[in-house]
Amino acid sequence: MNFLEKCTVFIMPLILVCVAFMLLLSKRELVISFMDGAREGMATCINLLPTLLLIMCGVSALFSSGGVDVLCSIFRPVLTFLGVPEELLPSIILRPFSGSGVTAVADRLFKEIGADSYVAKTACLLMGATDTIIYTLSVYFSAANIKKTRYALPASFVVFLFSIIVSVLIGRKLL
Amino acid sequence: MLSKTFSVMIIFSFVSACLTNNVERMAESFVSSLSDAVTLCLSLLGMMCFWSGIMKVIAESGVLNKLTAVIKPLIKPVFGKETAKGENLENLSAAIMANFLGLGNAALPLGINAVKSFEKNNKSGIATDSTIMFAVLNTVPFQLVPSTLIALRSKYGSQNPYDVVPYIWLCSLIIISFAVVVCKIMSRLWRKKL
Repeated sequence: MNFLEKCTVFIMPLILVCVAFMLLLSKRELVISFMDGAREGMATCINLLPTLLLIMCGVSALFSSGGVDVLCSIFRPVLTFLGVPEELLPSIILRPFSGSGVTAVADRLFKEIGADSYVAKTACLLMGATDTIIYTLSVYFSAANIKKTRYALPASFVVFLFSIIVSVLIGRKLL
Repeated sequence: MLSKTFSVMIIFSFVSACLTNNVERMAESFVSSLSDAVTLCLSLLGMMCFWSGIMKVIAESGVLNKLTAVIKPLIKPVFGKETAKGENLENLSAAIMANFLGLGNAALPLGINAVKSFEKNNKSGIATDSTIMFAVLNTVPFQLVPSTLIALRSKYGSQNPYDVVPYIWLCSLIIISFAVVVCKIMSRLWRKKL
């Protein structure tokens, strides 16, 4: 497996080398295409700022106000009913909102109960197989200039609930 | 979606802040959250520019055609016929590959390219099924090497930090299949509301 990790280090530089060869060997001036593309990318990114402001403001309010703890106590009965270990609650509640927040929580979790425990491994499953919901959806929809997202949010949360169940089941049966 | 999500988060936070006596901290964090957003935007800027540029070079060189030929049979049943051709297919394939290879920062600009091409002719501001499918699938990524998790585990003395990786793959595959099915079912249910 260590070999796999080594390989991934090479992916990015290799892509760059391929592009370098393309620029060298092509008869057309591909650098101009690069400039055009980069300019479009810049506009897209700057246009994302208003969305990012709203999201970051909302998420940080949720963290600093103690809203996360309130959410934890609201969802505790449901999640323990599903067989979720008590220690995993904070990472589950944070998952839809914040990527770095979950990493911080996992860091504390591993320190307290050890990285090889069954709960820590279940946390890995959940974190490895899911990503933040609010941020991801907002970024893609606002970049595509979409106002009405229809079933995107409900679908994401249904899938997230399913992810919790699957990680806990696989964690309990296989690890 | 954004307005509702934001409002719910803020109102819920304020009520919680009053209950847990944290209003002062909430006020303080508001200021720093705004500069965090600007920092995030700036840190994305370089990657966005660079990968959008590279993407354009690759698209014009025609290399993507070969890649899309491989991925197309997988994309067609999931995203539908309209998305599985031309520019849409090229952008989508590039985004999927970047995700799969774990090029985190490159995956976002390529993904944004993909959804922009899905919605290029859409003036209504109502999301199409392809965009929703893509966005929802992005909340359940497939990571070939979950490097953050591995780093965290080895930091706290795991015997073999890699041993969970196959199980994460298994988990991801089950969840991704489920996500595709959920999106397909919900797109039927929501059609009437359009």
